[in-house]
Amino acid sequence: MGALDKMTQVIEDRHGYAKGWRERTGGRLAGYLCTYVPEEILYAGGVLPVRVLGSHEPEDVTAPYIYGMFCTYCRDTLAQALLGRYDYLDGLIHGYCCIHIRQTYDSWLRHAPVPFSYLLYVPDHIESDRAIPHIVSHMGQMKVAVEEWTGKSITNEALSAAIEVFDTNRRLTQKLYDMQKGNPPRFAGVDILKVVLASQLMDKAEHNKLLEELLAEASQLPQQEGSNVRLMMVASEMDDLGFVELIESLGATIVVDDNCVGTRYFLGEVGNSAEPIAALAQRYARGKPLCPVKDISTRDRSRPPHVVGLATDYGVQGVIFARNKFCDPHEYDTPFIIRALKEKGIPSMVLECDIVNPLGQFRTRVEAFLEMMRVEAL
Amino acid sequence: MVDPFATVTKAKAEWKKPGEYEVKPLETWGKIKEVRRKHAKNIWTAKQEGKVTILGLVDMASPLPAGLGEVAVFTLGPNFGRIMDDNALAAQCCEAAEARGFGPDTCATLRAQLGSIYLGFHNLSRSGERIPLDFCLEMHVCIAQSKIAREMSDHYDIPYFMVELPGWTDPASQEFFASQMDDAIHWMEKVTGRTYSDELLIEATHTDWRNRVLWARILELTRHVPSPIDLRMIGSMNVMLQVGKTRSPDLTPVLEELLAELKDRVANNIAALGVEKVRLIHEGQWPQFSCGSWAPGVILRLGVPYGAIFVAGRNAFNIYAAWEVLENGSWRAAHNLEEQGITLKNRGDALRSLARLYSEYWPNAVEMQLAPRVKHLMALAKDWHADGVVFNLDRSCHGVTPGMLESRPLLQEMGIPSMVYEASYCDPRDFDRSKVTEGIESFLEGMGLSRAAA
Repeated sequence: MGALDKMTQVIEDRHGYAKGWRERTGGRLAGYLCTYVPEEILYAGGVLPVRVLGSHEPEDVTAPYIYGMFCTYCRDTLAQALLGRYDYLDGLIHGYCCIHIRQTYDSWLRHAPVPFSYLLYVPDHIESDRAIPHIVSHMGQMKVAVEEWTGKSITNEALSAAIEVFDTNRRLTQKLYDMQKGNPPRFAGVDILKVVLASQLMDKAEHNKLLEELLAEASQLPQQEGSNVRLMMVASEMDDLGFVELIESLGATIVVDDNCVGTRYFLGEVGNSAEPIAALAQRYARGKPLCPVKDISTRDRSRPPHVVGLATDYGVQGVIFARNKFCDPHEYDTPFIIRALKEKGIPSMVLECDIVNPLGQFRTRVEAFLEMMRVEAL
Repeated sequence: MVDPFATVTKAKAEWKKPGEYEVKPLETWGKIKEVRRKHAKNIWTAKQEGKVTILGLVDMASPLPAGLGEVAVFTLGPNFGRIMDDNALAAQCCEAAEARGFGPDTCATLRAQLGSIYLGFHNLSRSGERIPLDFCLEMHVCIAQSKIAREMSDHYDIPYFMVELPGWTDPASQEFFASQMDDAIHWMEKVTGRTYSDELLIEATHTDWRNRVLWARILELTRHVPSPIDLRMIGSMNVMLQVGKTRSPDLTPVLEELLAELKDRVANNIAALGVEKVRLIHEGQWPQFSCGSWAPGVILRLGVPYGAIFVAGRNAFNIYAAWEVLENGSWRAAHNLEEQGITLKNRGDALRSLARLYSEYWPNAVEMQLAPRVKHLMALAKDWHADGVVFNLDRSCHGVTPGMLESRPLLQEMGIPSMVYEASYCDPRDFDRSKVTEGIESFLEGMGLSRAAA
């Protein structure tokens, strides 16, 4: 079984993997809902951070607690909790992000209580110079809370070691992405998504080994079609593998993304520092690409040039927005990103995604989009 | 001094006697309208008078720009009332924003105001004058507000600055808030070329505390049965506070007079509307646009023929008042700086004091964590002797809807029924009047009320 198959297996049996990890290591499991949670602190404390994901199945359990006009990710993840699929978690951690996902966190704790929970304040005005010391203060409080929970002190040495494991993961993942810059790209977009998803479900040290294996195996993997249209996916939180497979089945390869479970998750290293909490604050405030919730500080928007920069670097021919239905923060950004792409001659289309995506309709629309680009190329 | 709450039990026992309470017009009403009108007019004449004109949500921490001298705050649009008064215009504005890519589920308040920019009348007075804006200062509590404020700044090509009001009350969060305001002062000096007066900031901060505490004391009187004013009246008074800003000294005598008048009404059992068999809370924003007549009037007075009066609302009470939040989630009017024996001496004192006011004494801040929101509503329902709660599960304002559904089973445990209607409070296309009114009327009938009985 190749490295990619092993990662796929973890995604398919994510709960089994997490429970197995706890049995093997004696550690604890903490679910998290947002990429602004500094997982390194948990990992240094012997806790496996487990990214909470939806199942993309129809659900009928959240309606009493969360408004139907809240985004799909929020409803789908809450459904998982209410259905007991995460009942093995020892803790739940959330980073202060959009108000919809805060409802998921609140409702989760009310109706599927976990032994430990923590809501980390991460300022929306994250680009302010004043934010860094503030984040340091709140991350420090989170560290103390985790220490009290686990009964174990988290030393600077343990934090630095955890940071090194995570930074290695980021560097190795970036190497995979770099291979997508070539023509044809090395991997299918769905495989890259699997890699990044698995990294959020697995022990990073184990994932690093698989990443190294995968990089070594890369030349043996099936070559992508050279004539495929090179696409970028700009997404709220898109982990629906079937959706990505559908797009790629139509003669396209997603070579890069701006996705909550893609580049927005792993880009940006922490680096070595004698003050690891300060270094973490710096990375989460400055190093990682901004979530749309946090891109509000200046008239010079951060996200449109960032997306255009990625699209240019990866030779993207078109962009598909996979926007979660009712995801306000993305809705407010979309017109400006479309405009910035248009100025660079990059066409785009918006697909409004739900818990269960209407793949038949999407097929028709994506086919038309790809045909349009092929006609233009002629 | 009469204890305003001593009569509660007595009055409750007499509920079954409709029409018992005396009612009379509010004497302060004329002054409220006068000061409201004065401040609304100020927005249009500000530039001619050499004042600084500011775009942005500066309802919170409104003393911050006061150090520049005379200022006029546009919020996000002075034509909002005009848009809400005309359903066709409101729909046209929303559509104009949607045509530029903003989805119909994004904030309708902002779509309406952004649409007025795209349609070219956002800063246009009725006499045809266009008001130039100097800069945008956004006190950030809501992502939608900040995103749209920035788009508006782009449109006018004016400088933009935001200050985040943290959702936490700890010292580090207050320091973060105060330091951002300090940055905003330096920035405002730079973009306007004006020297900032710390004395004016200190004065405005004292006034802000004073007015917010007065307003909380006024709202606190609505705990009394019968309530001396209802939520429909409070909504109109909120407009005075919104256009006037709570830092304005001319609001103080009006609020003092209103407080004295309401204390007198409480002491003499003078009711807002005469009949008060059932007390209701309205949660979330009520529709602002016209729906045959003024929508807030339609919704908030719908229960009157049944003897049901809207007396409170967590959102309506939250915005302009200073509340001390007790351990059990109950709100009590805070004490102003003079009563606390605090004298502000310099800029740092003033900014820290504002940070304290808008974190510890502004429940909306911590309610952003959501769990306190539910707790506060339960306490409000108990303290205000609510018999029922009506929720507007707003289709476009996703800032107010969280926590609503979680509150319902807890209200039920307290024996307080609730109902939900869905509307967008600024987009008339998302309001089915007959459905909403029938829903509320059915709810009241379910509580055993009937028009005839009232």
